[in-house]
Amino acid sequence: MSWFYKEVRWGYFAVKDFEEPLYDVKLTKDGVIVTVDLPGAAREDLRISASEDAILVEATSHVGGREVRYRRLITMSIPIDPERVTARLSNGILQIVAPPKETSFRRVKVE
Amino acid sequence: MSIEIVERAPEIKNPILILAVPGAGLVGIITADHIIKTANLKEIGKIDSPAFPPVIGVKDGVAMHTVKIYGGNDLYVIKAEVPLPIEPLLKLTIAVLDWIARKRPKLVMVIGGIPEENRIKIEKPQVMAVFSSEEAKKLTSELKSQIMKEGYLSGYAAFFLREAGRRGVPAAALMVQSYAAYPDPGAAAEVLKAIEPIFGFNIDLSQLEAESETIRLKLKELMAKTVQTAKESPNPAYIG
Repeated sequence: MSWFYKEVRWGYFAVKDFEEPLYDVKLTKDGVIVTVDLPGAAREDLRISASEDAILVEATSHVGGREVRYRRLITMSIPIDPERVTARLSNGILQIVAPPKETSFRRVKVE
Repeated sequence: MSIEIVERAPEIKNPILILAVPGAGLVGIITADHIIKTANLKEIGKIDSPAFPPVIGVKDGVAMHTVKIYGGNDLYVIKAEVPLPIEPLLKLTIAVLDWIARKRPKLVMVIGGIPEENRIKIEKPQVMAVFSSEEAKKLTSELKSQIMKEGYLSGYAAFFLREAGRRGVPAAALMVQSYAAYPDPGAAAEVLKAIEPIFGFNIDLSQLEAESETIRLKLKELMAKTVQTAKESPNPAYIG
């Protein structure tokens, strides 16, 4: 009976401040590859912020005569190097490649 | 639990039928929507069952069925507007094949996406066809698609072709490279180009291209629900 309590509606163009875009995350040898579906988004209207454990995607676009604001915080399954994150937008699909944070060791002097 | 098919218009003899259910890239749904619009098909019936999930469509405050039959131009399109779990989906498919077999169809089709990891780099996705029999293959020589030469096909399309074959219904599964988890109007456009020659009318793709972004946004929730249903399914291969 869990379905009974789960939710009461989902639908087209629900009223909300931000659309949460669909996204997909894959872990590869090059790091984390994130793709985000941003219909109508252009490069100049897109803002991506990265930290070691998350990427924030924000964008504004015009779809069917209506302004759409996208916002999604995507948490990373491994620590990433925010300085080396790259992104490419093609036909409203954003692909972000986030290389893993390289572990560096510092010799500790024993007293 | 039984499946009820209600047709509220004079039946079409020797029709083509397209069965569209939500799957990878929602290719079947987008294709069906565009054909319904282009061919000006009318809603002429519904399919319902207590086995279907407890979901209704709502339009202007009125409850609507979620599996609809559209007809016209010697064509039926059956569209499931919500993702169905495996058991109800298989029951629906069997009921539709039994129903359409009595109309001696020219061809019955399902359209699905083949999730392609590098879809972002593919400008023109490939369409591949598999048929239920040699006869079905000959009947559809006009289809502009590659034919899967050898190999195995699993999942919903495989079930559909096997059940169609058992009933002697000429059937085809058209599969196109698509995004797995995003609505893919570009892949649907390639399918429409492939199947256009078998219809007696032209399919104008300009509207689909112009509204591509609106379609992607509009179908976002359905796509998310489809992915969720596939994940919850004991055998996800059947969906998508």
